[in-house]
Amino acid sequence: MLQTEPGFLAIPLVESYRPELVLLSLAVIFFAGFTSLSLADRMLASFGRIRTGWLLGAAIALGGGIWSMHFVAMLAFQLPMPINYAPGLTVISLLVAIVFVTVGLLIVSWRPDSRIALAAAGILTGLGVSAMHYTGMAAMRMGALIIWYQPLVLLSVLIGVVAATAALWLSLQSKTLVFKLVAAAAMTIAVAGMHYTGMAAASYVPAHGALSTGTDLQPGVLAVAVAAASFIILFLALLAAMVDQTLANRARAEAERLRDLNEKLEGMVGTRTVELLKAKQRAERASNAKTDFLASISHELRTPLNAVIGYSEILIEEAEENGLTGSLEDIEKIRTAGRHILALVNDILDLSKIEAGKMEVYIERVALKDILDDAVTVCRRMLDENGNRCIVEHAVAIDRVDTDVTKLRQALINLLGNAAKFTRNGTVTLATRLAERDGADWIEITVHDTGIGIAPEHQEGVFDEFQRGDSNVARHHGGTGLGLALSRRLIRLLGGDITLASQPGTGSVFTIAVPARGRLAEAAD
Amino acid sequence: MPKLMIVEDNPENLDMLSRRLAKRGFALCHAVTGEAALDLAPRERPDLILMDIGLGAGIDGLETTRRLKALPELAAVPVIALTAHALAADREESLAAGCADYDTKPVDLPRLLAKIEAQLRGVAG
Repeated sequence: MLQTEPGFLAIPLVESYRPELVLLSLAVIFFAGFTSLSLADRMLASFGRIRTGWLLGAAIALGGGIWSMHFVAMLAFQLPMPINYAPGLTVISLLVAIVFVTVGLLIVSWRPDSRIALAAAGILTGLGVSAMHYTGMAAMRMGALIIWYQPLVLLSVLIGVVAATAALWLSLQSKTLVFKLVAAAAMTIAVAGMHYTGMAAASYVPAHGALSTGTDLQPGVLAVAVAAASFIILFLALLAAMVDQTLANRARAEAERLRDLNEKLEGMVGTRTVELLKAKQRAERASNAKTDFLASISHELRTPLNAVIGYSEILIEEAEENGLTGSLEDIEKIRTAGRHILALVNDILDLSKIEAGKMEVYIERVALKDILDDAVTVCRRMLDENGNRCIVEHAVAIDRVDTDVTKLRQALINLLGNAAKFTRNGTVTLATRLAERDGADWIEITVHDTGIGIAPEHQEGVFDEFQRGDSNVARHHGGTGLGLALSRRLIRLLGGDITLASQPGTGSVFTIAVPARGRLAEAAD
Repeated sequence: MPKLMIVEDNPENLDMLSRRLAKRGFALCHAVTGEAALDLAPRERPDLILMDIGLGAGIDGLETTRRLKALPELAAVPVIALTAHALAADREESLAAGCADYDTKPVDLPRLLAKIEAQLRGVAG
């Protein structure tokens, strides 16, 4: 007989367990452990608010599971007297479990790779299980006093701490189902081991008159109800975790696919870039080869042309001296043909240089009047041959211009030469004026003739290579068919352009427009 | 009459140019290689030299001009480059080598005569 307190008999009551409810309690905590560890996995795989959500879910699943396990196990426990539970403390015991587990998971979430954090989380979880258990025990209302055997109490806490730490550690090792199940089993050992060890640490001694053989409660029904509610909640949580896992896997697979695709694309772009660089180098080599080739052709053609033109001029001189008018005409045709070939060679060389981007522009300040006089001097013979009058109308106010004098002169000579060729006994007027375009000073040089003119349908084509206004007419007047194409390109190199206005039978007006303060054009044409 | 020296390796061009210049009263001598020109010029002492740039075998017209310009007694004799190379770069190379002027083939006789006369008068350009 142990006298503990007045009014209590120190004879321990007979304890018994309903085995089916014990099994149910184990099932509840196993399932809760599995679910909460799955939710914790999702937590570690997510960020921000979603991570917090998973953390709270895992904490509620485990804390709730611990509490359910405890409650079902208490319903499996039988004393020969009615047992009631104080609602307040029972609710507090649930909150205690959730709070401890929440803090433990927070630590894992903060430092998933730290062993110290893992140990702290395990200790907190184990302490949470114990705190919940002993708070739950304190909620018991019955006609008996609990006597604690302290070594077993300590052992129960130790089991909770060690097994919970092991469960968390196992859970972090691998995401495979086997590991999850083993981790859930460890969690079951932590919670159930703690609980039943704790129960073994307690003996119950009845108060006087409180002894009873029956109980009004239906512990079996209540236990199943608690367990079922827990299972449903846990099942939903587990489902959410699994769906999330699947979505995350898909997202990861998609991300990997995109990364692979990206790498493949980068590879393709790299290969293509190298190919393009090679193609560019080939094109540059080809372009250089073409320019070199044309330079060689030019040289090779000039040497025999030198003889053709030179000797025909010797023959012309001799024919004139000896009065051989019959052969004079024929020899002049040879000289004209030779000069035509020479003009072609010059124009083709110039065009190819422009196309290869090798025609350089030298802007210098020059007197516009000098350029006009040069052009008239060069074309004087052609103008006179066709009985044309030449008028120069120069606006003196704009005499100094910044331009490439060689190119402007070449284009002007070409236009003036054309005007002289296609006009007979008429007037060729060379006029300049100042124009303003986009706030800048421009020079407009017009070459106005009273010649045959160009039909509207031919006006577009006159600037194309080997296109002449009317080929039959033009053929009689000579020319390479490249002059206007070359002139327009030269003027465009100076940042300007050549335009045409013409009426057949009345005459043509070609206008060269160039910036008065020349700038370099970006590229040829 | 002034004496011109023609340095030209092409026989037709040499013949043609010689005949046309002789007809206009110039005294003439000629060389068909750069080496021959360097040998002949100090003895002939021409008033002006017409220099073909592409001279087949041996040193080219540019090198011949450089060496002629290095000879004290010939440094003041104007050299007009005469070449079938018609690119702007060829003109600059010729002037850099010491030529006083430059003209392209085929020869435009009035133009060439104008250049010869300008040089003989001591006018640049």
